[in-house]
Amino acid sequence: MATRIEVPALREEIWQEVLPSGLSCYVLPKPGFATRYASFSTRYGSCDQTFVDRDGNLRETPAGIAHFLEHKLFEEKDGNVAERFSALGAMSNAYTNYGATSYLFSTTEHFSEALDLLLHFVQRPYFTEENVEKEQGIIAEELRMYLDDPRSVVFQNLLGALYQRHPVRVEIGGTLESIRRIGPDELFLCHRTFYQPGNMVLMVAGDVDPAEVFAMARQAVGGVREPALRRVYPDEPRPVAEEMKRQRMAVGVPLITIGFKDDPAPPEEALRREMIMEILLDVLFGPSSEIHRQLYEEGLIGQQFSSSYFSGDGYAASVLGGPTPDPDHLLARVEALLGETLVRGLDPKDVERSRRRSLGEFVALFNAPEAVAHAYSEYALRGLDLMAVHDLLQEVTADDVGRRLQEQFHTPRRSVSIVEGAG
Amino acid sequence: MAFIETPLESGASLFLWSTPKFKTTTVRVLLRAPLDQGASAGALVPMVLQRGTRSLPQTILLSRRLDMLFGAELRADVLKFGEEQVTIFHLEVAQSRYLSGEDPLPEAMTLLGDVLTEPPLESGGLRGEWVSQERENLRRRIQGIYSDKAHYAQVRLVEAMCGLEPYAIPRLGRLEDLDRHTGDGLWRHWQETLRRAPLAIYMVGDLESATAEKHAHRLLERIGRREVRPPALATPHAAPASPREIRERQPVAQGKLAIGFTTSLHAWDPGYPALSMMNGIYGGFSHSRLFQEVRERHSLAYYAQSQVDGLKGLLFVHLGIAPENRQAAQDLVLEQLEVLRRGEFRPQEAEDTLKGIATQIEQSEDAPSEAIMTDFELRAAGRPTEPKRRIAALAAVARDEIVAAARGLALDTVYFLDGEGDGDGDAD
Repeated sequence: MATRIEVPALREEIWQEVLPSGLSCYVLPKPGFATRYASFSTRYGSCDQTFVDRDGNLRETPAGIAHFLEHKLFEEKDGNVAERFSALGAMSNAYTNYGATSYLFSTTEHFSEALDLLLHFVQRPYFTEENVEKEQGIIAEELRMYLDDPRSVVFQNLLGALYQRHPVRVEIGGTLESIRRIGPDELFLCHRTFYQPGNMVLMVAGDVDPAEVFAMARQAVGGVREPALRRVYPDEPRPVAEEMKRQRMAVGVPLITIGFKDDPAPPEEALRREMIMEILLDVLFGPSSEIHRQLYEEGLIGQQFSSSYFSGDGYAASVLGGPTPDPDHLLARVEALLGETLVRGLDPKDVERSRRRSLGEFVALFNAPEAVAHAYSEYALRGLDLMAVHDLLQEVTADDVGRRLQEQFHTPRRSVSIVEGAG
Repeated sequence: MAFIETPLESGASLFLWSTPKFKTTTVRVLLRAPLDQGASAGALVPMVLQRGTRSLPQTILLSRRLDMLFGAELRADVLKFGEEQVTIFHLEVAQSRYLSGEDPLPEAMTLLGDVLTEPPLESGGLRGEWVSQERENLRRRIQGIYSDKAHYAQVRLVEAMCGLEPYAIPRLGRLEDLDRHTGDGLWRHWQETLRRAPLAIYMVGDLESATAEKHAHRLLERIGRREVRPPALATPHAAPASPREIRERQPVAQGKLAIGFTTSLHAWDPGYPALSMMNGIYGGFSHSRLFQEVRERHSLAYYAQSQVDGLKGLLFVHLGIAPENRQAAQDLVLEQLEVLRRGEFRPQEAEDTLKGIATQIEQSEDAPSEAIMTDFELRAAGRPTEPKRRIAALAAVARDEIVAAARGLALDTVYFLDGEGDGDGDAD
């Protein structure tokens, strides 16, 4: 049975149906838009390296295997799936992050054919020794590209410094060494384990009929729901692994990222926590904040300075930073200014301002069906409902935000990552 | 495309797309100036103007005001557009019907006008403190290009290709010009731009045309009397007698190969759709020759693509490769062009390309900013703006026109960003 999730104030709705196979399907109708968009995603990301397989055995897999699998699914016995999407006028793509893998397309024509293709190819693995070896060259180049990207390096180094054991500390794509340990058997194992419908979400946005989408999904994704799978995460100690990580690279301007390790919220609280933290970080470090004003006028930051809350299964942290001419001086100033704010506390007016801004941004998000679909599906995989943000934003109080200020920053567990010029 | 043009005065027009499709109202003011030695001044001015206005003379006051308008977005930047530098002021506000409170648009439009025309002045120029701060920010933005190796490779390729032509000037201008900018000089530069630049006001949202016109008139009134110069046409590119090869070394894990060609067709040529088709078959998509051969068949690259600048008449190819594979990758890139020149591509490749471009054309109407920029670029090149006509023109391209477009390419410059390992060493 399809149900409707509505935000009347926005005149937006999302239709939902859970199929007998366990697959959760969502449709965001967007009449008047030419683009129709679909993603088929699994709750399987780079962090899911250790798990219990269907026969009850504990399995450990090489770093980067979820991403490797994402690349390889595009290959079929008779060619590359991307070309088949192209022949329908659809653009296909896929991505892997710490907690999910997603396959997607957007098109203006031939939507049903493209959706059918999407639903089928993701369920149809084709791995051979030869095609796996071929992919290693392509993925090695992708990894090298990120090794040369200072923004990627400074962030991944930060995660390595914040976390002692949690696999979020390892690059999503793995390493040049770990990908060489991936073969067809490991890929089949991971596909069998994580690509079961009960672990997956289908998301569609655009000028489509929800009932038709659900009918197609029922047709293409059969089977019965399987028992929930078990992932194994190591116990992450509360202290950070390392307080400072420095690296030299060929950069034009140094980069800094400062991370404050947080205790992850219980799953049902995760959405509310993220929303409150985004407001807190905006009040503290956003373009309208006193700290931002001072750092900017002191020439330590520019427009690219940003902050955000980074969280998922078993990890959470406030992260801020950007390019700066003097990373060590910036760090010292952030410390000092943050200390002053902790003593002074938050001004409720600032929280109200930030709340209004978040509301406007939530409204504007619905201009872009792909962006809504992307965010909605990421949350749905974690059992959360993005549409609830609208009500949560009305309810949040200055006290909620003030409490988090103390919890997160009073006795900080902090790591810093700096990338500087090669000399 | 649904933009309706209302000419307002010489050199200024309102382009309105009145639609309930979006949840925001988007406004863009676009000013066209020649890309020349003043490029860094052109890049610096919008950075200073965003710092505040006479009525909100501190950056934090302006920023907080925008927050209270439900996170109204007001920003300015420059774009390299052929051999012009276009200054873009972008305003986006949520529509009041989705919010509880007053309509934020009227005040947001006033703030836009304030930012454009009423910065706080000191001794007849832009505020000195802001100018020196933003000069350093701009310096870091320009230096930051070195951190983004793919972007850096493109800048270096174009510098080598175009030498003294204006096109060689980067979007943000050059570092060596920065120090001479003063509050005084920048304010004069900006007043000159406001007076002389062809100006377009784009609006997208659920607006009556009378309301939009009122806002546009008010904005132009505040800008004042104008004597507009015609837009600058790109200078013809002088290709070298034989292709240039440039190699640079840096401590990088991945090499960047950037190859520039001249094209025989420009955006304003009636035959231009043939070049779009040719580029699509060559390197515009994942079904294209470069992706299929360089990445899928030979596993040499993660990305391999081509793109055209129709205003200058250049085509660029970009690859990220292991340094030791440079020669093999370059050979493949040139070999695939030869294949197209001989007409040895399947009809399916042209069909897929047509579908791919048609999808892109139709999708540009789903995002306000993209719709605006697409319309602006097409009008500048004097091409039709309606999606149906654009797609029909591409569908009408014959196979031999695609072949002719491929034959019209001439290899100009090969730039390679190499690693510092011992590698091949014989690449020059």
